[in-house]
Amino acid sequence: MDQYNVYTTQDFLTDLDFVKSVKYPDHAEARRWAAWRAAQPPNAAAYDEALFYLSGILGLERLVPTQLYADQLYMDIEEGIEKNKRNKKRKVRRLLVYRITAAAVLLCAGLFWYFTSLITVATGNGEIQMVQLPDSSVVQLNANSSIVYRRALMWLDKREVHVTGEALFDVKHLAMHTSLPSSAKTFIAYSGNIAVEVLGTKFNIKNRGQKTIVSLLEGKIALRNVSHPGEVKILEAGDVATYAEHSVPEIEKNAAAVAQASAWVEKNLVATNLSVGELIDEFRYIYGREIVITDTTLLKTRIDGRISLHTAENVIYSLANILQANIRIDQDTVYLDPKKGIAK
Amino acid sequence: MSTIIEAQWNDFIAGDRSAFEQIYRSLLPHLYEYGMRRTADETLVKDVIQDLFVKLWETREKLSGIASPKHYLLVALKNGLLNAQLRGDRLSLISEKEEFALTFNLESQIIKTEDERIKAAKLVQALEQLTAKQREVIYLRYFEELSYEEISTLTNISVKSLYKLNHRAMEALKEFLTLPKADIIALLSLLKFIYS
Repeated sequence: MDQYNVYTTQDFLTDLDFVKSVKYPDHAEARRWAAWRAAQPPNAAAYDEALFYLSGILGLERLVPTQLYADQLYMDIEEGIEKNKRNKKRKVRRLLVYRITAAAVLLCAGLFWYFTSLITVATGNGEIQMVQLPDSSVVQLNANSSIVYRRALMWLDKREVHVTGEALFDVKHLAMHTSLPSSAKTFIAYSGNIAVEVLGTKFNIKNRGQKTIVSLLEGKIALRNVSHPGEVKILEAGDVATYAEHSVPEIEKNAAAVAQASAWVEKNLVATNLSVGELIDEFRYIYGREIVITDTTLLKTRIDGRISLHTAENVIYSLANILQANIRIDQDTVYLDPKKGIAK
Repeated sequence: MSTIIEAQWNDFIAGDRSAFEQIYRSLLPHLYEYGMRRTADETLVKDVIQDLFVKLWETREKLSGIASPKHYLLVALKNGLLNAQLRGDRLSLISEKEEFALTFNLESQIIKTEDERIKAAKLVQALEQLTAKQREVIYLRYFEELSYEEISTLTNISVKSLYKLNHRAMEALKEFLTLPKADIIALLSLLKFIYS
């Protein structure tokens, strides 16, 4: 305690130990201070003065909360905590509802997109493309043709595709249930107004302007005209159905014609009594180019045999050779002029 | 007092509600008194203390590093009161000047003689003439027994200035007590001039 012997009044008043000895007189520390003062230290007067000041300060009227105030306040605190907890729970629940709703909306949008979105495959000039459908059926698409089908083809009751131009179908037979082998999923190929309904076959559809030709290579098909739903024609392998201007097709059993119908897949054209005009039309469909025969009487010339469709030039040279003509090319148009010697 | 809080603090942080209540019970008198001296509005003090403890419970997991919960809550209470007053929760009670109410009485055990009684009366008179800042420092030092560092963060006065402030307050008191009664009035005006 000797260090206190040099304390001034000011020093005592800034020392918390001194303050505590006055505030808590029953404490052991306070008794040590009392003993120090009783020993008459040299600065006893400074101590007494500090004690006097401090006593005056400690005479402060204290403000004490009532028991009721304390209890009520604690109840308010508990209520506040519970309220916040409930709010938080409600917030969490609301967030969960939002998330579920968002997920459901997303799922619905996804399903909607999946079941309504279409897949389109289109070919350009001289292009042949193989398309594998979701049901493993294979479609060969000739030049300047297209096929459109639903992304969800497999999940729908009917497998439906729409074609323009020319396409060779190899449709896979798809059983609906393993227990019912007889009920297979119908496959329908539309070309304009013509609907070809099959279960599992191989056929070629060719649309050229007003004319649509369906050639059946394998199996059986039901042929309908969408605008005349009552009339259904059943085709068997080797049949060729031709729709011209009438709603009823001309059906002809012609195995050779059917065999030739799919020659285009190998980039060949097998001609049987084909007119030059018809060849020029086909050339236009495949390559998007025009062949002009200067001598129009030649248009009726008939062609038999195999013509390579591999390139546009193959066709032009073959035709020029058949007609004994000279080739003149002006931009996209090919002119076949008769050789002078023959014209004479 | 503080030992109760130290013992309960970790249990409270772990989520023990009874430890939380014990901390509340032991800290409430300190918070109540400090709040009431800053603003006489008992309802406002109640609202702010309620928010304080609701928040304390909800953020308890982040409070393990607090050295002195009492000091932490006194600072929070002061800020809460200031915010409430700035928001205008109690528009009528906003005063331009900072208040810190202290009322002293003479019922001290050490007063025995008539001379001492007169001297004590003068002391009380002098204490009541101190500025709000000086009164707050004296209260926090002698009643809350806070360190000068803790008082500094509560009052925004530097520790160095606090020593000076306390010293000068005591000097003023000392001078006040040795003066004849006639000079007291003059000194009071001087005191106000120095510490305003």
